[in-house]
Amino acid sequence: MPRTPGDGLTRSGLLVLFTLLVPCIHLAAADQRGGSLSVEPSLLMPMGPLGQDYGAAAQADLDFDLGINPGWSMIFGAGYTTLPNLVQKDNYLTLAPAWIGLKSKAQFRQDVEIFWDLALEGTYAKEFYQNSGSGSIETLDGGGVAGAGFDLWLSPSLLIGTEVKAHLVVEGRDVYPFLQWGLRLGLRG
Amino acid sequence: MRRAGWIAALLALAACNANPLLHEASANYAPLAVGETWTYQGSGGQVLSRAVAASLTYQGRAAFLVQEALNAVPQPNRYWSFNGGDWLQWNSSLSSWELYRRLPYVTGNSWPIASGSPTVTMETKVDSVENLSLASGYYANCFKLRTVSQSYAGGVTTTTESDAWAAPGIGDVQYGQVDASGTASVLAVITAYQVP
Repeated sequence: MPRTPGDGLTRSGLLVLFTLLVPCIHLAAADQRGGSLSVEPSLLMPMGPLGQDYGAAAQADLDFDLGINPGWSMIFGAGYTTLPNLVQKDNYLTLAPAWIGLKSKAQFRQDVEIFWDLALEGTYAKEFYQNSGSGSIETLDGGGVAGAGFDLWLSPSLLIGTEVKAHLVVEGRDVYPFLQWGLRLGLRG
Repeated sequence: MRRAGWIAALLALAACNANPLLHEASANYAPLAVGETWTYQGSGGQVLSRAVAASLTYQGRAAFLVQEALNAVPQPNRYWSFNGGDWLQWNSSLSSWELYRRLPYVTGNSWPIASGSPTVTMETKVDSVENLSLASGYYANCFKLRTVSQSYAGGVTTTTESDAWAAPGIGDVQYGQVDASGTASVLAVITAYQVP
């Protein structure tokens, strides 16, 4: 059964992202129990068989944390990265994950919060050649992400922190793991 | 909870999509090593065998010597080499290494093929991804590569098209051609292979 570039998956990808984000925005307006908004420059490392073909790259994340109570938050966010092919220097793999899940958090000291989180994740992926080709392949995969880290509260409204995430992208019966380490800088409420 | 259920369902659907990009991106569609063999059966009953006979330095490059035989009659040797993801083939008429295929395959990507003639242009394009069910087995996620050759003579342009299907972890599993009327036909299919 022939398939053509894209397969209309870009449209379905946007639909899933929209479906993920709309309820979260609604919750943000309704919930006034704190949380945070942070940007997270990070390093994404493909593991497993994909790690033999593609190298690590910088990833930019945007993380939202909506406090449910002092111990739990609802989280959602999205990221973007482009991994370089280690062998074919003109080939790249763009990944744009978006996730929604729960975060458990606890005060370690007065100004330090440790946490772990677990989320469902959808990942838009696109493989392409930058200079020597015109084609591309796109897809949308499901999966999950688990993370753990800590935040340091610099002031009542400013935080910095670090987090390690393990992304598991599911494609058919195969699971493709990615490891991410990031530094968080954000506003908390 | 209903909302979470919908989100989970959407993500599950995404996981079951029919375009396994990461699988294709991490698979080896040109597994070349000494000792590997492929056998093809032609539509006319002829048998083509191909074997990676040696790893050597040839014309200044680390290369593989590939020996072919058609109905047990030896054919001219091929020499294949890799330059990063570019798969090169020694062109004896041009006395140079020329681009044969560009890996990894990405649907829609194309590259020129040196023809050795100023009146002939050739290009190979990654046409699509197909699943093939052959007598020797089921081959999923095969990239179909279409090579278009155009020759100009006497003000007339003649176009010929040939296809090759490459399977992950195996290499080429089927060859075909498209005639002048646009009808596609299979020329040869793989019947056996030995690839580690």
